[in-house]
Amino acid sequence: MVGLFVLLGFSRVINALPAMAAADGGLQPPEWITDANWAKPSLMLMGFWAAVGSNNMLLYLAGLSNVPGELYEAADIDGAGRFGKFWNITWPQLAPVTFFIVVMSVIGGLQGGFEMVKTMTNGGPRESTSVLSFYIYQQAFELGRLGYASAVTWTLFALVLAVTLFNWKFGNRYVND
Amino acid sequence: MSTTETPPNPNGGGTRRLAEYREPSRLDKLLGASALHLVLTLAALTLVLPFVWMVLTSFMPLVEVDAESWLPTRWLWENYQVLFGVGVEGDIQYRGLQYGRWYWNSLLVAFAVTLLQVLTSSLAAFSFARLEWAGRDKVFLMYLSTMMLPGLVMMIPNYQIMISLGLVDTYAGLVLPAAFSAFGTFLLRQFMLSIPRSLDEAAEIDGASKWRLFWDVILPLSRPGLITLTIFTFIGNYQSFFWPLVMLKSTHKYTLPVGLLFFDSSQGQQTNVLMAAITLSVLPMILLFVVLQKQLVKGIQLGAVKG
Repeated sequence: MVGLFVLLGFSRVINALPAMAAADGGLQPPEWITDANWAKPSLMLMGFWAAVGSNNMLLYLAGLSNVPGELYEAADIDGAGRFGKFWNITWPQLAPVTFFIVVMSVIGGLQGGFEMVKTMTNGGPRESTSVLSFYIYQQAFELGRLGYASAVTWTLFALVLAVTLFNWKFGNRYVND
Repeated sequence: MSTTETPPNPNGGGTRRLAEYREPSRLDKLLGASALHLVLTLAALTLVLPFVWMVLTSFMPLVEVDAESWLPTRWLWENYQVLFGVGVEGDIQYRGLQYGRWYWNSLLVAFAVTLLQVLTSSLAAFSFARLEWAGRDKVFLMYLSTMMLPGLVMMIPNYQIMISLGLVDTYAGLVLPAAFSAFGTFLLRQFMLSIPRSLDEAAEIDGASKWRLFWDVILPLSRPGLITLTIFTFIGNYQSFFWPLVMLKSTHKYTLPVGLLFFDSSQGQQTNVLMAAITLSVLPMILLFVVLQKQLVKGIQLGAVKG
């Protein structure tokens, strides 16, 4: 939840880490956020980092505490190993949580990214990080094309809705309760 | 593992299953535990490292920021003093930096939004959960369906409303659109539905008005829900970026996230001062998290189970 603030400074971190490796071993680090090929992966990494420590982990924690203990006792009696217990009990029992996280993260991912892009790359280099939310901001509030930007928001909505319906239809299969 | 090597017990049935079960050996347990902790430690380090770097860098002089060592050679408090204008009076580089003011703005706006949102949401939730009126559930469903619209879709119409109300570049323009929340209403309504009806009836027999029922019975019993909503709203608005960026034009009205863009401006990248600014900005949320951790976790889980 403090992710946003740290993200504001993260561009410097992601530059600092490989620079250290380069100094020691002579590796050539990519130009992370200033290279058009590396800018998108850099933002993905940062977004991933921020998402891992956010609500998702707490959701899994809640899910874990809801897995009935009897299941593990039964598995112990049947002589199941650690991995077997995880694969056959924990993971299937967490399916609803996983489904919820997948659906919400996809929705958030499609609409999000604005903070990172605005603060670190401003859509560049060569438009490589211009995500939809940033494009909408640019069109509406920097260029004043409010009508056009509104149209783009509705296509974004249609996209989110379509992907969510797809997730709902095909993801639900793996949720067995 | 080792349990599978046990020969089948001729007695068969349930006793066989029991006989096969053996406590995992101590070595087994130890190995498992150390592997687990190794992985967890690595994961935790990955998550924490950027924070560590942030705090360490906030104490460095600018020339050391890109150096190999993560540790400052000398611990400086100057970066923090700069934020409040100490020692850089008249320095053209810091003209327009009003960190203290931005901090105050952020807290104020987040506080105002939270207060209003909890108030309107609880009133609306009471109406949807407890009062009888024609078409109530249909209206609720319509209200709820606005949650599906992405915030971006409503951003532009909201902006135009703010222009016609003359509220661009005001605090009211930041607070008012956020004063109502379908999510908050939904959350509190679910809470209020779980409060037994018999309490309402008892209050009515005692001659309590609807307002007293709301204020003295329902509201105190909805406390966990209210606290959850308060935390969510406060955190969400304290770090909100898009809307303030769109609304605010004058520097002294900036909130913290918008204000932090100052360090990325043409005056050059003062990474060390930026890190000091971010470290201070994060403090209230860390405090809030430490104090209200249990409530927060419960709230997130509540949203997930219901969602």
